Order: sequence, then structure tokens, then C-alpha cells
Amino acid sequence: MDKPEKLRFSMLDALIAAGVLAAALLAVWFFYFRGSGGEDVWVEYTFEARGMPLSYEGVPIVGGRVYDSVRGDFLGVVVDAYYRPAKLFTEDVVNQRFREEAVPDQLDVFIVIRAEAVETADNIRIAGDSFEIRVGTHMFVKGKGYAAEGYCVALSTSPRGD
Amino acid sequence: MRRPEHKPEGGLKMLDERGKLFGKLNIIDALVILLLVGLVAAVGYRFTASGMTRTADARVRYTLMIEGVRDFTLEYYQIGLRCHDERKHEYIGDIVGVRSEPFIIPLPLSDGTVVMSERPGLLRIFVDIEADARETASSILINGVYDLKVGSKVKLNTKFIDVEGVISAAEMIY
Repeated sequence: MDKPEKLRFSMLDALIAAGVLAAALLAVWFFYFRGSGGEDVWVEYTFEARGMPLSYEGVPIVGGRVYDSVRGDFLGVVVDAYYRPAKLFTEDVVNQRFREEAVPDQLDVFIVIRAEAVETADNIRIAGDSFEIRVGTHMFVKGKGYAAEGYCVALSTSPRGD
Repeated sequence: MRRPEHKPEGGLKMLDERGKLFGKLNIIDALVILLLVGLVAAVGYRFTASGMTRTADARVRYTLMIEGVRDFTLEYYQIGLRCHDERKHEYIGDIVGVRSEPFIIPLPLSDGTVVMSERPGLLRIFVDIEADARETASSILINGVYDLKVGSKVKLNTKFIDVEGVISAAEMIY
């Protein structure tokens, strides 16, 4: 009976194995440890959508869950929603000034959202660390029965302590 | 009797019939080695370049002008916050000063003339940022790699804000 052939590793095999191992470690670090660290906090932020139809009033309900409508990330729970007549800058050439005027039949919608977050010196991350929220962040959100595009216009954090 | 070795006609071929370079190294192996060397070189360059800040012998103070900022967001521009360029993923210094003024811009009139007028509710904000830097004959490098140029656009990220501005001034401070 023939003896099984002995396995031999060349220098090149070792190099390839080292390369694959390094790539695997890098992938693990990238997906599980990158940007980790920081303090667990609650973040409460205000999402603003401008020029929405009047029928929008009352659709985002307190307690409703909010998601990113592009990636599907969970962005938090609605804690407040308020509305005002939509406003638009106009050019008043007679009086030589800009004016801010209400737009008939349109609303500016403000949805206050609360989410678990991790706060560091560089960012505040929500949605399981995958979404960095800042004042000025362009957002596409959806909830039960509505969707909107807008910006984060205010935020604050508080200790989570759980 | 020893048989004469078969040699390809015309001497050593670069790639022989078994796919080996110069009769020794498999072409796939050669490609893998090239890829690994390239990766090591890229990582080495990245870390060496980033490491230049350790030898930075100067600091730069520059101003980022941000126009048309809504007035109620001014509170989020805070001294001490760390700044990053979102597009280049680079740390670009810490905020050392914040100033604001009314957002006054040209308003064309119906007779073709132009007057300067204030946009209510909006501000022009100047954010002063300081960073370690290295000055060369042709550039000012923050963090070893970030080329600072007056007039260039920056997508500024701090912990609290995400906004685009233009670098309006820069000076070396030693």
C-alpha cells in the first residue's frame, strides 16, 4: 500500500497564508471593532422636512419607529412631532430686501427622534454604530405611513446609564 | 548514458509551455507576490505619510467660512471640537475660534442694479482651526497628507456638525 504523500509548504504558500490571515483579521477589525469605544448615551435629534403637504400633519405618531429609507437602519423612536406653515425666502425688490414668507398649503415638519447612541470626541453614532448623526446631516427617513427627505437641525445627548 | 537536456529553441523563454516565468516561477505565484508587495507598499506609504505629523515642526491656523448657516445652529460650533474632512477622511485640526456675522448677499433689482441685503435667519460663520503642519516649498500639509489651500472646499465634520465651507485664510504659526 502506498504511503500518503507528505504535505509540503513552500515559502510562497506561507506568504499567501499570511496574506489571507492578515486580510481576515483586517475584515474582523473593520466590521466589529472599528470606531468602537465611546460612551453610551441617548441622543435626541430633530429631523426637519420642508415644504410637505398639509396631509402630513399627524402622520408621524409619538412612539413610532423611524428607519433610514435607503439602508433600512433603525434611527430611533418618535418622541415629538410639530408643524409650522412652510417658509420661503423671497426677493422684495421694491423694498430692496429679502423676506421670509409663509407658503400656502405647505408645512415644515419637525420630527424629534430619540435613539441609543455611542458618543466619542469625533462623532455620535446610532443604528448600531453604522450611522453618524450631526446637525446638517442629510437624511432620508421613513416611518409607518410616511417618508421624507430632510436634515437634522438640532441634537442633544444625555447619559444612558443602563 | 546521460541524455542531453532539452532546451527550448532560441534560449530561455520568458514564459514556458508550463506557464512558468523563466522556467522557475509560476505566473499565478508571481502575481500573488506582486499583489502582496503592492499591499505592503500601500500600507507602508499610508502609515509613513500619516506619521509625518510626528515630525511636524509648525502649526497652521486657518479659517473656514461657512455661508448661509441657519442662526439657531450656531450653538453647535464650539471651541475645542475636533475637525475632520468628510470627503478625505482626514483629521484637520481643532476649533480655536468661532465668529459670525449677518448673511448679507447681493440682491438684483428690477432696474438692473444690485444692492446688498441681509437674508433673515441666516449667518455667515468663520471657524478658526489650528493643526500641526509641515510646510514644504509647494504646500502646507496637515497630518502629513492633507494639502491645505485657501479657496478649497471642505466638508467639515465635528462631533455635532456636518457642513460645507471654504478655506478663506491660512497662516503658519511657529
